[in-house]
Amino acid sequence: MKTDAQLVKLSLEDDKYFGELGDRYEAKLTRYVFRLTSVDTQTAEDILQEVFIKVYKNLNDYDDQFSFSSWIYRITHNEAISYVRKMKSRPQIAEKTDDMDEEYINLVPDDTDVPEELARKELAGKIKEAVYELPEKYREVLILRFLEDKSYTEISDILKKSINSVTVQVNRAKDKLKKQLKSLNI
Amino acid sequence: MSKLLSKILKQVKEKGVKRIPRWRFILDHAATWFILIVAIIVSSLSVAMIIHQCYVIEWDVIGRMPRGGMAVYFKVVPYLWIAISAVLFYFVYLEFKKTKTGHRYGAEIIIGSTVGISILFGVIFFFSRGAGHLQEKFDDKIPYYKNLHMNSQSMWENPDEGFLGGNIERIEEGTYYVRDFLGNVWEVEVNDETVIKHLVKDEGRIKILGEKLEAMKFKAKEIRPWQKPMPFK
Repeated sequence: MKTDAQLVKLSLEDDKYFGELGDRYEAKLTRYVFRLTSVDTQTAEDILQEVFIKVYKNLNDYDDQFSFSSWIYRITHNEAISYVRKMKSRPQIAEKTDDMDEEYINLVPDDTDVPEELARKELAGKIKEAVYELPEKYREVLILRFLEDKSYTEISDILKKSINSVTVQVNRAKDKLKKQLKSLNI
Repeated sequence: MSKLLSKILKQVKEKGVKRIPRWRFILDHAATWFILIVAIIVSSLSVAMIIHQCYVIEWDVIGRMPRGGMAVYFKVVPYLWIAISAVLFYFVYLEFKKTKTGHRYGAEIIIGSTVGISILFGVIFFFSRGAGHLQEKFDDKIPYYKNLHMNSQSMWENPDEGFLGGNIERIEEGTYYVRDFLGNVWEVEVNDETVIKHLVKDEGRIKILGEKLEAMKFKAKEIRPWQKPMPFK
């Protein structure tokens, strides 16, 4: 299987490889856009379209000493945040709670007593709401660290912040989330 | 290929979306580094000027200066160059953040390194006398610049207070004839008790500590070269 860096090189010569590269990341980035903004499906697709067009135009700027994943995540992050700021509102929680919500259970400590199916979905929804109550800078690091499973170096490259800043923000985000959840009796 | 990607590639083709050429990115990155290097050079010069302005002060006599006392110690602080240095350090921090890996470093590392490099090159520039020459150029060419720092010339235009500066016109039988900065020629008495600092030559600019005897007549207690010798010489 070709690496991302190899696909990038090939994409510069033949667009079909760009399609292959895009296919590799489409699902991940769609989920990331949903997590970051909680917009509806159509809007997420619009955002992703802008992302891939930007990636296409700027592909010559990709430096293979860095991870392609961090590079494309950074573009996605910027486009998603840009969209949210343009809408000038807090991310609105989509009314339909889909299967993705259950992953928010992962944000509570391991020793928490997690209830059965229905209560579990309700809990996940509450945790998701608590996450969206957080300021943007804490929400984005929590999502990248615990839902996207990014390392501190990757988060640093995606958010263009120092590794120390990222570490501090992750810890502060966890503390703030704990307080939020406590206030919701979780 | 997914529907979305096919749609995107179709759009790219239909709208004629072009890739930004590699040379544009190389130029952008090179420009950022060029600006950074220039900013560090200028901040080093700025640090050299701070060192120079602090060094040329006659710390042993400054308290005795006319309108002296504590206020004069505040006047000697090179505020302009400190402000310029601070602005440049912050500018370098912002520019460095734009580089490919600049974001990975915290402010304390970037600014600390900038200050360190500026001090290192500033010291080199100072010892090469570059700061001194620059100071003279600024004094001559930039209006009001002299008002912004403790100007050597103004310090030594006070014969009534015992501070006389100027150029040696001639030396006759041990008496110095010195033209001050206002064009007046002073007869400067020198005797065995007069301390003449070893770098004073028979011509050029000098500083004289002493007392005014009468109009255009001065008794020297100490004669110093105009340019303070570089440290460690």
